[in-house]
Amino acid sequence: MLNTQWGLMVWTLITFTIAVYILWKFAFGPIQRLLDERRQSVQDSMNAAEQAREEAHRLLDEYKETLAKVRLEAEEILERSRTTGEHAKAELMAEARAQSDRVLAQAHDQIERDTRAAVRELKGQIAELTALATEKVAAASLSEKDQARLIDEALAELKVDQLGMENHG
Amino acid sequence: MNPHAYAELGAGLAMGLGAVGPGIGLGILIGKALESIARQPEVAGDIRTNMFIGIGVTEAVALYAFVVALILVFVAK
Amino acid sequence: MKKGMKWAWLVIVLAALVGLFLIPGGAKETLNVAGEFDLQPILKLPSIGPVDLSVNKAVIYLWLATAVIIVIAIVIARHLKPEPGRFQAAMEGLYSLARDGIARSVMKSGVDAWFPYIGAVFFFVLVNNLIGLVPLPFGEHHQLSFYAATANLYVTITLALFTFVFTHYAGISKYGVRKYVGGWMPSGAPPVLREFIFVIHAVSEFFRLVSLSVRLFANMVAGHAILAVFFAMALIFQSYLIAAALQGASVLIYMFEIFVAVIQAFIFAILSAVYIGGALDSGH
Repeated sequence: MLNTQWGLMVWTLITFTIAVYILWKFAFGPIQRLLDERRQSVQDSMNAAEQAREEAHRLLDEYKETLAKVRLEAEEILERSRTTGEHAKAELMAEARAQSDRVLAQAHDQIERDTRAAVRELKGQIAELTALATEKVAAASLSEKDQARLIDEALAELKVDQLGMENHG
Repeated sequence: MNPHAYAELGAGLAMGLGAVGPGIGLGILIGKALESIARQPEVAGDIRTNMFIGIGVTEAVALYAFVVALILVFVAK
Repeated sequence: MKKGMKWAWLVIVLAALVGLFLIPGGAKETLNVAGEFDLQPILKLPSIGPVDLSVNKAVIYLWLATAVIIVIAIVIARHLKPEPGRFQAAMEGLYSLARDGIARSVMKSGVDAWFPYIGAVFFFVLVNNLIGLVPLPFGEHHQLSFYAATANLYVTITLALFTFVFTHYAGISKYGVRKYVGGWMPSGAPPVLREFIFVIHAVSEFFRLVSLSVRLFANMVAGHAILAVFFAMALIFQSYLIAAALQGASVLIYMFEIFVAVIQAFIFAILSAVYIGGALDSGH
């Protein structure tokens, strides 16, 4: 048992060297390459996923921002249009009221003017008629002086002003 | 008693006594390793690797006794 | 009925035990555990000086291990796919164990340069140890028996010599002879103590060689010897009852031996990595 078995040692050397060579060339290299590739691809896909996630986040943020802006703008437009409408309405109303006032005032003026003219004409005709009637009734008996006095009295009794006012109202 | 009997008795004693120390040592070693794994499970891998190295070194002592016993039985006849 | 069945089973087991005890054993044979480790040349070859290249049991086991390694390596090289099947996944797991669990975990530098050796020594020892647990017809009169090439001291010494040589080669090629060997001497120590420590370090380097080889050898021999003793004890006690009990126990021992085979390969490789890594990081 204790005499050195050189032959066995040589055989071990040979077989072990072959095993190292074969494992190195055929197993370790390809497996390491495969594992590296796999790690690389996993890393790549993780990076890509991360990138896509970031991109998506960015886009989402952008969309959110745009949406918020758009909503704000729409609100603004709405507000503006509402104000504009109200303004227009108020303006229109004011104008209409002014016009109607004006028309009313014109009508009033016209009526007053007409009434006044009518009253004046009426007054003239009454005086004429009175004079005529009085002339016919008392042509002989009354002097010229009395005639004039009587006409004035009659005219004083006629309340022409009141007549005009009634017409007015 | 013939000389072979002494050799075989010596072999038995060598193996038996030689197993005492490593046995105690392995018990302490593995116990401590498990203790530290329980305390720090996050470095369990490192502890286990070093535990196996320690087991290898400690167990070698028992195996020297085993080799001496083998020599006594088969070579020193 | 169930209770009756239980009793029936108990009776059958007891009858079997008694029967086993009563059956007389075979012819008395001698217990020859050591014979399992004898190496008789199977194929005589001429010897060159002291080197007798005769093929014996250990050489055949070495060939077998190498053949298994070559077949696995070539199968892997041929059928390597990006999506691994079961076999490839298992091999990749073993590879990762060798690379990350052994080389990376103990070596600070030189993992890429020295991994081919450390990985190969792991797989070589592992395959040799596991083949040792397969019954093969290389026993006396070609009966099935257990043997492992690593249960031979000269095989393990050769493997340990590889590690020994590579350790110092790594250190010397990195630092040069003067600096590497000088690194064994602590520069801070007083003169006489320094030389003393140097001698101790040199002796410990030699004992690493011894312990590395003897550990693997003795583990394999002890495992196989225990299995052989368990099988042979049936012959000693001349009783089928005891033989049956020992067979049951030997299954447990066998399972433990599978564990030991893997652990010893792991320890051999990891200590090689520790030594080589230590030599690479020694000259600070």
